[in-house]
Amino acid sequence: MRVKGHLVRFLLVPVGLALWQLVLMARLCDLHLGNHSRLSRDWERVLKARRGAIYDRNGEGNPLAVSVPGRKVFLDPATLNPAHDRALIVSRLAALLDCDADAAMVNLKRTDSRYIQLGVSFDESAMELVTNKTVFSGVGIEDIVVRRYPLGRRMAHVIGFVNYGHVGSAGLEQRYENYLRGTDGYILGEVDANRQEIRSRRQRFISPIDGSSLYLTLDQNIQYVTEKALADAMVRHRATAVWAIVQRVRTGEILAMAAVPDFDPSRYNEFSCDLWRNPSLGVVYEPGSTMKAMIVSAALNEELVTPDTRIDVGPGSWFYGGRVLRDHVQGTVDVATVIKKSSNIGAAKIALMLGNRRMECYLRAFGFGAVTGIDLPGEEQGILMPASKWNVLSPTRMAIGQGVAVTALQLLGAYCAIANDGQLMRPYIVSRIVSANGEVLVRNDPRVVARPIRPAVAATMRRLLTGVTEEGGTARRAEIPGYSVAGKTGTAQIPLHGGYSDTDFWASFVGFVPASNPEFGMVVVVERPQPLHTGGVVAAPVFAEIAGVVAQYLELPVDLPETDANEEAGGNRLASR
Amino acid sequence: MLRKNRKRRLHANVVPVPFIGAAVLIVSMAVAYVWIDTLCGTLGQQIRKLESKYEALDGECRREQDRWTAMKSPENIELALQRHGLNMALPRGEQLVRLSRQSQGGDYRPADRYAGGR
Repeated sequence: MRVKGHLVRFLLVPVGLALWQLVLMARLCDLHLGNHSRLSRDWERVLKARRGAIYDRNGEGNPLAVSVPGRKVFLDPATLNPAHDRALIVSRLAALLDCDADAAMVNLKRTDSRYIQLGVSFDESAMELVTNKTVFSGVGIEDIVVRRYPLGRRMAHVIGFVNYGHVGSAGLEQRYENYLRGTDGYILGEVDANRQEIRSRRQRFISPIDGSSLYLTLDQNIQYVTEKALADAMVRHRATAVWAIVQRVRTGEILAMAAVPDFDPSRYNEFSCDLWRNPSLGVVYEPGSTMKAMIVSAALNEELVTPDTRIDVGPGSWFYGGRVLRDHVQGTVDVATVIKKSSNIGAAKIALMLGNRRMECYLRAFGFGAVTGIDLPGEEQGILMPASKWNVLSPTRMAIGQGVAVTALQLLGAYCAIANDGQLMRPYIVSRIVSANGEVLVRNDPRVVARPIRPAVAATMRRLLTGVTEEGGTARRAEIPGYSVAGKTGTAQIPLHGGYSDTDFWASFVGFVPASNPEFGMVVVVERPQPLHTGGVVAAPVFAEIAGVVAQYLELPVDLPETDANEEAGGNRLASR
Repeated sequence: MLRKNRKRRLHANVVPVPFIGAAVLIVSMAVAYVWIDTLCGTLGQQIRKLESKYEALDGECRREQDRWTAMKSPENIELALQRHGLNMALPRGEQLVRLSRQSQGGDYRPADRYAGGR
């Protein structure tokens, strides 16, 4: 009996422990392998795709727009530790965010809000504000992604900006939103009690697809020179606005597109929305005498005139269609002189030789009255009425650039067609679009959109336009040392209440360099310059200032011997002043 | 008559050998499962840390790229040139020596005006 009782006691404990162990193991297996949604925490997280960058023509070393992670710093006065030194906290915030220390101190004492934004920091040391709890309190940090424009206001009209929702709202950011945005990813899984993801319990993972990047044709160095010259011109001539475009003649690539006044794309809401518009393609204006080159080109192409054809422009005024047309040129002049000295009556009479329908056809062939198709939003098509709606005066006035409205981009395209042997090229700014994994999604190549004039006529026009910048021409101030310049000045009164203003003008100059073998074309438009207002005096010098640097920067071979006068005029444009 | 060896029979009938074997197998598998699960959890934490580190480094890289681009913008370079009193200019057209790709023996021919060390 003693043996049997002893056996029972001997087996009771281990069997009991073994059974308890089995129960625990069963429970453990159930917890591990079973489905207990009420005990674990489901968790999902959106993986934001990185917005694509925008680069200039020099590639990835020169990003013009890039998304950068930052930290939004805000105040939460309710969590401020009374024992902490407020002055120290405020001084640290002011140093980090470059904000007003006094304002931060006032905000730190507020009781009506628990989220007072101070600014965004890109400095890693900002984390100290929340990690060092022995010194800092009352400050919170939120991880955000900020769109940064490293060059500031440069190219603002072209690049545009993104809104607070990180959606492109102007310029290239808007135009190529679908490419730049990318596609967000997604994680579905579980977290433990510390809100750390249980990696092995991840149920679904969709990798984000980062946005594609844009590679532009713009050159930031040429853009800088252009913007600097425009800013100087705006101050010098007290203009309300100045804009310019530099374009490669043979390909249509835009090397620079600048306008002042401009805005800061990272603080776009602090500027008037009128400034957001890109005037290079969004403002239509009457081109004035720059239109004469198109009329003469058309007449030459139709063999109605030659450069030596004599035109009687009279004593400086001409009564036609019930109105008087005035001219500063008198007597009988050849067609070359009509261009060189910008004769209004000469151009008007050539237009009458063309006839309305042919004139309209040629103007449309040069790209007027229609959008160029450039890859930027907000392009205006200009105003060119069909010939059926012209009155008797229309051709004479349109020949001198009145009664027709163009954009600077259209005008430059037309002149570049003359420079390019009569071939009108489609302008473009985006060279290619490359996906995040390096695949070229879109490549823009040069494209001929029209051939308004024959190559021989184009060559003749280049010769005539070169005369404008030579002795006796209206644009002596457009000449640059070492390079021949071909172009045309324009001075147009700004329309005002059914008539024209006597005090407000558009002064412009459009041309290409070098005239013998054109590489680039440029248009400069100055709005409301004071007190001087002619294209030859106001816009031509700006053209020369920019073109001189661009020709050197592109290392174009000189085609003119430099004289002492030229060297003095050119000078050392990049030297420190 | 010999006495029966009660001890052997007593020990022989307590727990069958196959049962012990099965129990050992189950326990071993359970231990292995727990060990592998712990290993997976540890690896998951390491992966998470590395992912966070990668994100942080990537962000740092982009911030530095932004800062560097701003530093070497044409505006800042011009300011730096002025600050250091450097008088730099683009070369004029006639100052450029163009090397021909077709030149024989790798020699180049400078323009005549530059001959003689002018």
